Amino acid sequence: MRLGESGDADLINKLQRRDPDGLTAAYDRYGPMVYSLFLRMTQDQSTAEDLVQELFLRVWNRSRDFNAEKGTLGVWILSVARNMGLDFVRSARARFKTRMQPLDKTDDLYLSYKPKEPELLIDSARLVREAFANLTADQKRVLELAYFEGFSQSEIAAQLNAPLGTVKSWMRAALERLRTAVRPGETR
Amino acid sequence: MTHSDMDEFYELYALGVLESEAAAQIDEHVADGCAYCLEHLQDAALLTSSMAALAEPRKPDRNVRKRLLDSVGRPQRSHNLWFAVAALSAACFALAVYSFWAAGAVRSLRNQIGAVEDERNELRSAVEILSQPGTRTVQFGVAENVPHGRAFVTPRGGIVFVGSQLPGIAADRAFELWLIPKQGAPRPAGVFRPNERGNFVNVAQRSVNVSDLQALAVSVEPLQGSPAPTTTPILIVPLA
Repeated sequence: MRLGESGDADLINKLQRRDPDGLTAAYDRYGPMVYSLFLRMTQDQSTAEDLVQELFLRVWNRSRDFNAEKGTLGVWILSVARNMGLDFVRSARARFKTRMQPLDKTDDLYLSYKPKEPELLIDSARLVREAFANLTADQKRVLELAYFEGFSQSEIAAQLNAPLGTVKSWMRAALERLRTAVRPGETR
Repeated sequence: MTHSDMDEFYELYALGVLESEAAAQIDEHVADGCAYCLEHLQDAALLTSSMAALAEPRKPDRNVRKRLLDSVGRPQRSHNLWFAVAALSAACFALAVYSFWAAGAVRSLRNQIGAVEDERNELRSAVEILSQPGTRTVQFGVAENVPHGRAFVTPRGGIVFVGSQLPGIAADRAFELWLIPKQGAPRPAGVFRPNERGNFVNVAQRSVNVSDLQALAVSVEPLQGSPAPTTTPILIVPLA
């Protein structure tokens, strides 16, 4: 699964030509990962399936916004998927009035993602998973609460009954280890 | 704040957990077209997107793919063998007509049987729920010309929602029942349409902690239902 290389460029071209093959390929490439994410976040199979459908219809309807030369679909799809999942688990009664909250402000950023090198999303995902397995229990917990539940660091501190400074330190250390795994040799 | 100060913020920003003051500074840089911030944010986006892989890998049901492709129109493949196709089509035409007729008859019968079975299963579920000890009955609406009926809620999570006089609804829409918890998002509890006399029954066998529910609600949704309400509810039945 190439990130931003010919694989996604091909998909984007097909989507922009309104060729359903493009959507089929996008679904086959990213659908299982997105479904797993929705299922983890919502804990409900039918909700996860509905969100998958909604997300890929969104891909279909927004295909004109992608740029085959500089854009990649995977990062955008997974970022929007997380936003949709968080939107679902977070907002309760507000959803009676508006369907979707505005996308995260980083939406445009992800649409213009330009890989510096032929990175592989699947590789990156594998590296993140491996690095995650080596984190401490506290580091894992804070990442999960932030990523899957959308909690702020203050909320995580309250949830874990831990000082905010400690939570921030766990979070920083965890992200540092994931970053090092994905981009070895880069130190900040 | 310098870029080296911001270095440890980019992933926090992409995760959405960075404090607003620091996030605002990054926003400013991005708005000014800061190449350094853009590059680091894109790297952070890759990292946080990859975190989706932390969810246990599961495969969606095949129907999800089918439903999606149906909704945008399946790919129509073109090829250059029109003559061969035409000849083959002609040869198969009579067989196809017959098969179509036979298949249609069988499909119709199957649909009827399926509908009866669905109805039977729904009634069986309703009876099971209604016969459970501790079933709570909540009446809603009293006047004849407004939506009225009863909700039967069991401690073990089954809900039978029955009534009449819901407003008219377009052919491509359905009513969806929602469980409104005291905290958290509404959860779908089944899609239904009233019969020709305006009566409706919806049976939801959901594992729900009834004591956590504060209300039931009904909204108008697409036929296949929605994961979350898309319209203002037309009916709210408080349970508290």
